[in-house]
Amino acid sequence: MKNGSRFTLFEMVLTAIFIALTVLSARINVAIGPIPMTFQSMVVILAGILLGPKRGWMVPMLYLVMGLAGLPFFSTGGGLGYLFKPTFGFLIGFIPAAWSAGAVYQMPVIKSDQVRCFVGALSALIFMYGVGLLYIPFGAMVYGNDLAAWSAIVSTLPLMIVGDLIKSFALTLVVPVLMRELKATQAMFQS
Amino acid sequence: MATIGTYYPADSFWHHCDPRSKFGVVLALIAVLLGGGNTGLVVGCLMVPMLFVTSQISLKIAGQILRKFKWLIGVTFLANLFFPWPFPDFWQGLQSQCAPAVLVTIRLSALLVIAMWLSLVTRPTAIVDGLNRLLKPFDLLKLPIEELSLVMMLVLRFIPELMAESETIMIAQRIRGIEPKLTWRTSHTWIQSTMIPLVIGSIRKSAAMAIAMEARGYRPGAPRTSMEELKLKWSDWVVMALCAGLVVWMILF
Repeated sequence: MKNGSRFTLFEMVLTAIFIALTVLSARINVAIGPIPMTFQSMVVILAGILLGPKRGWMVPMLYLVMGLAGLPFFSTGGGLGYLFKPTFGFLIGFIPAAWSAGAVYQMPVIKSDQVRCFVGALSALIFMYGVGLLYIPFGAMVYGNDLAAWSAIVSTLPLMIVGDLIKSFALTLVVPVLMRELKATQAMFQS
Repeated sequence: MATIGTYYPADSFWHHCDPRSKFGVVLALIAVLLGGGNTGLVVGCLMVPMLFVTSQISLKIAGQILRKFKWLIGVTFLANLFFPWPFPDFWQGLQSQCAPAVLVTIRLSALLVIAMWLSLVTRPTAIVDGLNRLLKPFDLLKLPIEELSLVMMLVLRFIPELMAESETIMIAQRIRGIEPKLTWRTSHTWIQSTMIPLVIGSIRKSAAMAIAMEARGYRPGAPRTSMEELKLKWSDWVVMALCAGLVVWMILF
């Protein structure tokens, strides 16, 4: 099946379908109480966990490349103009986030499946928020000052963090089921 | 839920243009707007409506794009107006800040609109095609570009299918009484009951797809041809030369 390529066909199609899911999840809006949520961060972490650290980071990377090239993949369209949105850093943060979620999930140190998943999601969130906050000065290049960006983001940050924690908890319930299905499907290809 | 694709069908010069030269136009205009100072701003602001008119897209659509970003634009304007906050003399300070704030806002709006223009005049498949051709040189760095371009094409194919499926799943769960309106205690029920069928469905779909492709002899990384080859016409070269000229002119003056 290898045929000189570093990817199997199944991995490639799975990557594509996770990118499609990422695009989709940006448009599904649900509110928990006062907190608006999209499922984008959750799908990206899920991709990292299910595809593993070596493949998982390609999902957000290709998503960004395609979105920046002009495909309407982001929540309000696409194109290079997104580079000038101060919140673009959170999208860049998806790349290390997917990697770290997969890396933590494959650590043999932690025995429990659920705990590994939760810790992986938390590490992913740290990367996501870290890169997101670091990007603000760059994104604010065209603004003349950072104040607009900071005020817009900091006001929504606490709500976003609570929503992300809820999603991380939900991930621990979702991942074992999905992992079982994925392993079964992969076994089909190895025979 | 909006459908994927903001493509605006029309029969203009830009619609028939190669996506690569359109990338060039967008990049050149962004460079001019960001790096050209005040002359750049004037040139850019004249070019943006011109592009819309020559591609037979009404300017109302540009207005709609700006309305999507009204929050960002409004906050930017206000923050620039009041930034060096404790003005020694309030009214005088406000007056001196007014002009730069307006300029920054106009620059931001032009950047947002020009980035959207590309997806208005280019089909998604053409964008992916152009992107693949632009990424080709990275083959020399041993990056798996052939595989990545297949992945990108597959994404476009999967999106409408998954969108329909996610809607079906959400409606089915709503019939069973699982509302997307959540309370704190049941927040995970909705996530579980939509994410699990959606992702399991996608895993099965990709397995079926991979098997189908393998059965038809698809080998990842093998040399391939495409049904619609991109070809640069002479008009594309003219467009790219004009863009390069614009950027060079901006650098020199």
